[in-house]
Amino acid sequence: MRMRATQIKSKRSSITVSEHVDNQPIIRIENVSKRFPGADALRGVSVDIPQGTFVGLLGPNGSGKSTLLKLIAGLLYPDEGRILIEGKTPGRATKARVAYLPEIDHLYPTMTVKQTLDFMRAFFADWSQERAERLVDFMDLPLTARVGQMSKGMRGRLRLVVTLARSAPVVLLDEPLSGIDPPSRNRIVKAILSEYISGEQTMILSTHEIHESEPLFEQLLFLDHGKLILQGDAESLRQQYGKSIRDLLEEVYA
Amino acid sequence: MNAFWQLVRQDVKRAWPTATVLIAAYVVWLMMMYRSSLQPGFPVFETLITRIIPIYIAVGIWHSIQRFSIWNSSRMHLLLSLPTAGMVVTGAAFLVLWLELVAYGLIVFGGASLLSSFSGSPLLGLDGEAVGWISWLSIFLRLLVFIALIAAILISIAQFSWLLGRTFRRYHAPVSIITACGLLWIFLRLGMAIGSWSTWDLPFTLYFLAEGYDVRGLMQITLNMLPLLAMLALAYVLFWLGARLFEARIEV
Repeated sequence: MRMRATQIKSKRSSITVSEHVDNQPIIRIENVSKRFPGADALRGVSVDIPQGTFVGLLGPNGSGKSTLLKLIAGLLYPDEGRILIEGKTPGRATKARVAYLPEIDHLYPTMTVKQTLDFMRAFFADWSQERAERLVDFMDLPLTARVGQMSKGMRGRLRLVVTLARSAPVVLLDEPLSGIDPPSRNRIVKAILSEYISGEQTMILSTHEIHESEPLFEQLLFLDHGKLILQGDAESLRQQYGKSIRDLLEEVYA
Repeated sequence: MNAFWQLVRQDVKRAWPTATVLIAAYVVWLMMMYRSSLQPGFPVFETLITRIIPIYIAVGIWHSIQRFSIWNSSRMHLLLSLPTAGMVVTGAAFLVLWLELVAYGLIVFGGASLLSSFSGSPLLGLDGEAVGWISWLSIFLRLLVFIALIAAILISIAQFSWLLGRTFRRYHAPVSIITACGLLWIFLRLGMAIGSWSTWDLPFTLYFLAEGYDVRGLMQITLNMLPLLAMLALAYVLFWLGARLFEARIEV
């Protein structure tokens, strides 16, 4: 896993150069606020996310991580500010460019794994059946298993399969490891590592626990009570604070 | 299979268990009605007005609410993340619900008509012997078209009301109910206004019993279709607005 993470970093160094040349973030979040009845989910969040980076969106439960991802995915609309994905506000066009894995079970429980893949293939032009089948095999998911009858770990793995089977430029993973058993967590992390198209895809992974996922992150965003309290390059943050991201996370939210 | 038919397929899969139970219940109920209709003095038209139509409408409304409640579930995360027009998602839901309501109409009204023809005590007044089978089929098809149009209008109102209510986080249910009631009122007013302005009649022949089995006769009633067609046009506008809402304003 570590070796793969190093490979990603080495690939990324060349990408970083082109980012500076282009200076065009693939996702631009400008002063975004989102309120729900009785709570401010996000308060004036602004951040630019460059193309081809693996971003860790960190924060405790209720910090606004899922809300931010839903806003980028076009499942919510900001009350203030704006979000641009490749220069466009979230909508039908951007949904074709964003692969979103929600925190909850969103797939049809009556479908089998194969039917789920067929269903998703009908909607997404960037769907790779070969990639999907490879991932299903890697995740050890029987094609005939019905989604509603699968364990939570299997459903979590299937959700990841249908997200990673797309070659979308933006991939949003909302708590993909939450509540998943350790063997499934390992498979999920390995799948993310193997399928992430370094330098091309921008992947944002939200989590409130950082154990397995720390080596993945190149950029980090720390959210707390709807505000962006810390952001930066993972390596720079490690050097600046002299500790691992996991320790930094504990300190920030202590 | 393209995106629209994938959604239709999922809705059909979700709908068929309930639909099967309902259709079975309808058939059993019709058989009971058939037995009752053999009794002398059975109130044919009262039964039609007080039992069959209210039950059909109640089941239709209940089924519409059930259908759109799926859009409150986690499946909405999937539907809203699809890069497809709102018209595709709402259209698939509309089509399946419409087919269900037409199927119920076919079973309830067609079944009642058919059974009553066999019994010689016409529940819906459509008697094959009296009007001839070709005419009977023609009348029945017109009745089916009528049911289909009514179902399309009701579903459009229900769907739009639900979607509009969904855009309000706090007062979803009251907004939906008030919208549905308001739209029903507008539709009826529109129907009455159009109806008083002009007519385009669709005739139905009813075979009636005046007293027991002694007096039989043919009666032709006409339904003014213009109000219905005007309401259908308005229903399409509502459907289109609903699809726009789904695509641009609905959140999870």
